[in-house]
Amino acid sequence: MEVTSAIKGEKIYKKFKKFELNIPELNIPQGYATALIGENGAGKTTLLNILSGIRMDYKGNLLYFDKYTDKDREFNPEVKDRIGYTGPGKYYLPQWTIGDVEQISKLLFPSFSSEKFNQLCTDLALSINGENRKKKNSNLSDGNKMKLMLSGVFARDTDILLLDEPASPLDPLMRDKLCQMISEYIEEGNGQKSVFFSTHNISDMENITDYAIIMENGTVVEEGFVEDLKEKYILVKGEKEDAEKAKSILYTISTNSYGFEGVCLAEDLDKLAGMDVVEETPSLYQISVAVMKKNTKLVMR
Amino acid sequence: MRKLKNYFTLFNTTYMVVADILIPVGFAVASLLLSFIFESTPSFLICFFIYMVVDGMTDYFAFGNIYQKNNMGMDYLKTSFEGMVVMKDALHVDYFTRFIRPAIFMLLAWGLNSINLKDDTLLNQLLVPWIGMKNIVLIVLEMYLAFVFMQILLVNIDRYISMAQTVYTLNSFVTLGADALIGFIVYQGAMHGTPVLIAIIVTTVALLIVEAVISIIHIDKKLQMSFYDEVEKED
Repeated sequence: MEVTSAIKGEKIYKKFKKFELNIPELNIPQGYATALIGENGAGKTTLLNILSGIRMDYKGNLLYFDKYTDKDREFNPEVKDRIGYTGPGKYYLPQWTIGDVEQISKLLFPSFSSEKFNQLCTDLALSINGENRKKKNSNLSDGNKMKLMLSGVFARDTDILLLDEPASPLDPLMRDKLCQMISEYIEEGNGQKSVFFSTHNISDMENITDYAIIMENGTVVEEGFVEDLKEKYILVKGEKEDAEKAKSILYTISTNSYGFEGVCLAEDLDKLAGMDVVEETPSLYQISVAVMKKNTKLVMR
Repeated sequence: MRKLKNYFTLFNTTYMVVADILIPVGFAVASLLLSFIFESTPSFLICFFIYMVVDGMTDYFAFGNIYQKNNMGMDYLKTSFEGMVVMKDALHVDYFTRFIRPAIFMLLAWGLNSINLKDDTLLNQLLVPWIGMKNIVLIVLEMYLAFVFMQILLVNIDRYISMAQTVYTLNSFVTLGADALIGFIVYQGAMHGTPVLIAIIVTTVALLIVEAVISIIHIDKKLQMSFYDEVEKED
């Protein structure tokens, strides 16, 4: 399958005092929802900040929409207008009201639609019939702050959305709504619009995730279309007495009084020959946890 | 005009109304009331010194959130092509308002206090009656220039501090010190006559011009560096 990239990166490198982000190659497929998964401190926010232009202290090459470099992003207004970004917490100034956000967004983003923004504020129960428009950002709950950011970014005509932890502060109902909004956004783009979001709520976001990138310790340790990953990895369940033997083959293993359960590479399945195991298709959550456990510095007991 | 528009757009009306109008006007009115209540009190001078402390504090209302390296709200502006230009414009205009605010206070206080004059000079009600100063216009001008100089200096320092309490404490102490210094300079100028006063004013104007230029360069550089600032957060 020929897939074009919404954003392509090469040798992305950023050094902090005790941490290095080092991604030799990055491809965010165009027309899909891509999830960026990784434990705390893996480098997700740093990567999103680099891609959105919030950070510029990095090395490497970036190519947007197969056409624009990161220099174009800074000097060609069209590029930034096509990229939507929301970040965790420190996004709008706290003293801005919902009305201020509308006015300022109109000034800053040529494609911003007030009509769409107000409709989104109503749909997300943020400001119904103009109510709460004078409410300050600092007085909104974390969930409502995120709703305001989402209203602002979805009210623009963008080609890619970079969303940093959009689901974290949201309630389950709103997470479902967010999934619906992302699906509709991608659908209306006819293969041109893409979403790249970081998340710790893998299960909630799995149904809209087409492509997943898993990061650990500042680098990409696994990536691929979710369907391909589900073929690459397999969930196995077996008898308790085989647990010790299976441990070395499985990425992750959990045992109880009845048996064990774990994820391994499908190609390693023959190594489990002789054991009484049941194979199942793992969820993205199970794959992610398995890959993260394999690469983490955390002590897992 | 663009800069002005961006200033009005970026900062909320409450900050502008309170800091640019209500506080200077309030202190001017307070100086009048004070002169009615306590006759022969240097009401203008007292209000000038207190206003200087309060004015320094208003800065945090609007800018407290962008003081830190890991600035709140700047992410949104950075994702827009025009965002940081708008911020730069607004901050430039904010420097300009540092010249306007004390002018509003001083002119209004002077005007209002003249209503309550009992002597044939402005001197007794406006300034320090026991010194017997001449050259009142030059003295008030020097006070104004020194005020602006101190406020811009404080703004530049404050923008590296993220804690409101630290900003307030620092501003209070520095401004009180500045008040004393201004008092001393004005007193010396008044005691030594017009040539000394003019020399002090010329020096203050020169310092103010240098300070304004450095401040503009500094804030532009600071905004630019916010894209490069290294922070510990890695997630």
